Parts: sequence; C-alpha cells; structure tokens
Amino acid sequence: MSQNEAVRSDTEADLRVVVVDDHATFTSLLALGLRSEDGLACVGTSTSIAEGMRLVDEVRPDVVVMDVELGDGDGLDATAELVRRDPGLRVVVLTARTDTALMQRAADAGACCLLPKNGSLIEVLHALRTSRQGELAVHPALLKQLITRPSQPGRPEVALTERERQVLRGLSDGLDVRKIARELHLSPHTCRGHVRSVLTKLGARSQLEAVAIGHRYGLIGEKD
Amino acid sequence: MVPLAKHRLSTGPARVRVLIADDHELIRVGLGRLVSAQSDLTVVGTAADGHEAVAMAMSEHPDVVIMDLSMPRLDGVAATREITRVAPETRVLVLSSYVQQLMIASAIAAGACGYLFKNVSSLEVIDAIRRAYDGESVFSVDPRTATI
Repeated sequence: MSQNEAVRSDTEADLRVVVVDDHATFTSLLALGLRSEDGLACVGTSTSIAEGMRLVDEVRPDVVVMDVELGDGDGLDATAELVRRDPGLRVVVLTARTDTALMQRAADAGACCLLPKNGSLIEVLHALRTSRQGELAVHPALLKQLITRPSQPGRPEVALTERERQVLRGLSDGLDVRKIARELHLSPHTCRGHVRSVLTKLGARSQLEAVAIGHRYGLIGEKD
Repeated sequence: MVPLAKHRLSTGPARVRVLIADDHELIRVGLGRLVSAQSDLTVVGTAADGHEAVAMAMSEHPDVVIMDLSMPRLDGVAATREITRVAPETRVLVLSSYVQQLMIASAIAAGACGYLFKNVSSLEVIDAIRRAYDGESVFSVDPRTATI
C-alpha cells in the first residue's frame, strides 16, 4: 500500500500519524479508522520498516504506530532508530503478546506506549491522543499477561522438551514430518512420536492447532 | 469446489451477507465498517473465535465468511470445516498471516474457497468477498509456490 492511499488533507491542529505494520489489511483498516477521527490525520502507512523509515523522514509525523515483528526487521530496533533521529517523536508499539524482556526493550527504544494488537480502535486512539514522550505506558491487558501467565485459566501446562520445541518450530515453518525429521537427523517414526507428544501436551487436535497454541503462548515466536 | 446454491444466482437487490471472524477487534470493527459501507454487502455478524463463528454461521446463514486461522478456543481451519459441513452453501474465505503450504492446504481441505494473505489491502478483501460470492476461488498467494 502506498502512503498516498491513506493520506488525507490535514489541518495545522491535527496530530499527524504514520502506521508501520506488514499486515496491509490491518494497516489500511487502522488508517481508515484514523481518517474519520477529529484531530487525527493519518499521513502515511508502510508495510515495511525500510519504507517506514523513509516515510517518517519525509512526512515528519507526530506519532508512529509500529508493529513489533515485520517481514524486514524488528519494530523495536526501528523505534530506537527513529527516536534517536528525532527525540520528540512518539512511537506507539502494537504487540500480540509481551514479556518483561520485550517491555524492557520497548522502554529502552524510547517507545511511549505498548498496546495489545488485538485491542480496539478506541484504545489506539486514546493512546495516540494521550501518550507522552519520555514515559512508557503499558496497556493493562499486556500487564495482565505477565501477572497471570503461570496460572492463566485454560492455558495448558506446557513442559515441552527442547526436541519437541524444535519439532513444533518445524511445523510452524510449514515443514512436514519427513522434512522436520531430516533437519533434526531423526527417523520419521521418532519424529512422528515427538509430534504426537507435542499435540498431547498442548491439548491440540491438529498440527495447525498445535502451531496456533504454540504461537499463543510464545513457544515459537510472534504470529498474528 | 462447493456448488453455488440457486439463490446466489439471482440478480435481485439482496445484499451479500458477510460474517467476519477474527480475534483482532480492529479487523472485525474496521472491516465491518468498510463492508457495511458497500451498497451490495452487509455484515450479519462478527466473531472473535472459531466457536462463535460456527454459531453465527448457523444462526445468520451468511453468504461469505471472512475467516482468520489463528483464533482462540477453536482455530479457523476447524471452524471452516464445521461451517462448510453444516452450511455447505456458505463460502469461507480465509484471511491469514500464515503463508505456509501446510496452512493453505489445511484450509482448502477444510472447505475454504479462497485464501488471502494479510498483505492484501482492505479494499482487496472487499473485492475478494464479491468474487467469492460469485463462485470464484480467490487466492492472493499461489498455493503451489507458498512457503513449504
């Protein structure tokens, strides 16, 4: 999506916003949502960090909405670079899940707000209007993830072995059992045993569900 | 390919009934607004997980379901399988960030009529809804060249 698709004429008083997220559907819907809001102007969108950095240099927004994991790089690294270039810039970071390490990185990068990606437009709008540079506001839902993680209702007691994690990662990469077995130097029979074990431990009825659960609980890596 | 029901072929003023299943509220609300703004489309419901999607599909009889794959409680593939079983006239269009062949193949095997990667714009999703309703198989990724 080019920046022109999301640009509307903004007034002097508008808070100028750039959205950087590689999910173009999400990006364009957020841009549309911003477009109808008084006092806010989406002045550009980008689905890559490289293009996003260029865009911010070019249009000089007040706020950047930044995804954490993009196809061409890390949103928090990009945040650090953007804030280094322009210390007055505010960056609102959207993330599917968090942990203390990510929160620390967001603070170190100079982000001013951490929001859950599955939150509402109202919450994003509130953050855009109220967040301040120099302090990191973290949405309660993300803090709750930290507090409740060990005993979250419905969460399986995950005690995957390192080998099972490797197998789950292979499934997440779209590999079939034979390919995973080859990569891990296992027999297909042994590998199937690990897959069955992963499914049982995660309470999954299919490999896809196991991958989805793995992502949900941070056993693999972020995926929305 | 699921055959189109007769009522789909009528050219009357009835609008295409759309159900949106995604655990991202911003997608549900944003896409819902955009769909509702089209004169030929209407949103009959939104669902935040697979169980809700199946229940809404059974009660609202949508023509097209926009289905995320990674959802809590019941994933999109299982929900697609259930919806196409109980309502074979409903067309399920997957909208997902997964681009791996395994995921695409699972979705197709479950009865999805198309698969959109989330690098498509919201307007492309609108176009895909119309094409799915018209009986096309809609893919923004080529299943043969997707990541293995």
